[in-house]
Amino acid sequence: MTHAIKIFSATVFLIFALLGTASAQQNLSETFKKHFNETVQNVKASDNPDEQRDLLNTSFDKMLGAVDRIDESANLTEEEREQLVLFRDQIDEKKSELNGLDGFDEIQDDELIDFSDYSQQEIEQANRTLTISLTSALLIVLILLLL
Amino acid sequence: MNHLLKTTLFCTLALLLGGCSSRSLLHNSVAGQHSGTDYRLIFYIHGDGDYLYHSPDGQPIQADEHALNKAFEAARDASTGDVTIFHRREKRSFLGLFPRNTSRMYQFTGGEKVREISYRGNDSASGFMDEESRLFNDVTDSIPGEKSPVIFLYFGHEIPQQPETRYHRSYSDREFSTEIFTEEIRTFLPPGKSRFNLIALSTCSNGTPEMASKLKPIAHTLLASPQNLHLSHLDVGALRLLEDSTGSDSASVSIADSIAQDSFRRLSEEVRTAVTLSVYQLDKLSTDLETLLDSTENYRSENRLNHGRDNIDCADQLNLSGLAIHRGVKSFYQPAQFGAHQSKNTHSGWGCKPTLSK
Repeated sequence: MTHAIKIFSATVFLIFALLGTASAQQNLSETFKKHFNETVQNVKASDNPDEQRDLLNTSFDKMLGAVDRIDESANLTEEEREQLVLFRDQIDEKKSELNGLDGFDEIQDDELIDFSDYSQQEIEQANRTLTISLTSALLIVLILLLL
Repeated sequence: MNHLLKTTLFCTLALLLGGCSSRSLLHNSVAGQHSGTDYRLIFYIHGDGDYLYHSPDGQPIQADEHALNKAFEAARDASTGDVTIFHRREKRSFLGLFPRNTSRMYQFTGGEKVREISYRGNDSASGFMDEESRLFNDVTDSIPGEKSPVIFLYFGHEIPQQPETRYHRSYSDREFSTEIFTEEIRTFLPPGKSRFNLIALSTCSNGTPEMASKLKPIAHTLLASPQNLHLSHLDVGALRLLEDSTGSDSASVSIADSIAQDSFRRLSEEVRTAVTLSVYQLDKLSTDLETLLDSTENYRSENRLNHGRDNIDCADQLNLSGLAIHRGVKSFYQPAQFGAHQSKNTHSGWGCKPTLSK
């Protein structure tokens, strides 16, 4: 009987592990949203504009790095690559505006919190999202990159 | 131990048998089925995708669950109306093998819930909202010659102009487009009606000449966002105005105006991105809509459009001089606090896709 229970438990464990893998393949855009939410909360918790600016720049850089890693590592379809380019452009534009590049005026120190809210809301609009399926291994790499 | 194993086996068997049916009746009550049908509301809330957003204090919110709560409030307020709510959710299965009925259909009559049915997607279905259409027609009583106002409200991501896949996360092969949407929501009209009184789209970038043109044959009024709409979606409390409404087309326009005003007021305070909402009286657009549509089609044939990006104001792209583009259109607009268009203070009320270079 103990042996049967062990086999049953191992089977259940294996099935749940497989389920976890399937779920991980679907959570790319949520991963970015959760990461940037932490950034925005850290910006709001700080009262030092230099630190706020640094937090935002670091976050944008991490997301751009993660996008590059996906581009290099994942076997993307043309449609998926287009989505990724759009997402990269969106982050690039925010970074340029933060730092006053590409024709933007630099975001002033007293506007950094509002700008972080704006950037987050732009990422969380009701348009389309990244629907790229990644392996759980690559998703874990991306999560580590965003830490 | 034997008892434990028997219980486990019994539970597993029950789950397997439960999982065999693609529909399950979870609630059925006759208590609330006494009121007449002065009007019908149909909510379609899409949740089979990424609908995560965060409150200003960082709390995670699922936009589809948030929209469902708004729909429930509207349903409870509808003491003389019939309300049907579809909440389309991601496919899930027990132990990765046995599909679960994760989506829900709720029916309210006279402000009370009379029916709740769980259902799931069907791998062999071809239409975007096939399951909901069949379910609606199977369980809804149709009254021959019914003329009561009917309002359809859609909550989700942008409905693509051209056929695209991957809208449903669980059924990523199914195509969705403005045309598919138009064809499929027709099936929710009662037999005696050829047009909805109002279609409200709580999505980004669907206040376009193409969407208005497609919906014109089946709707009197359209409420949509030409550009941005935050995932917190439209506020629909103004639907309670239907309780005292005459059911006329002008009443539907007033309700659309009120929904737009309420939503605009809240969003203008809460978000720093652009807020754009428009109410289109489709019968009043007539030749202006056709001319506008011609202009967008000409532009599309001469330029490569970027369908993945947010819309821009059509007036920034097309020469609209001489066109009465505001006739039949009431716009609510606040520019973004940051970004390339922060100094843009007016809006035509129409959204167009930008070119690849923009």
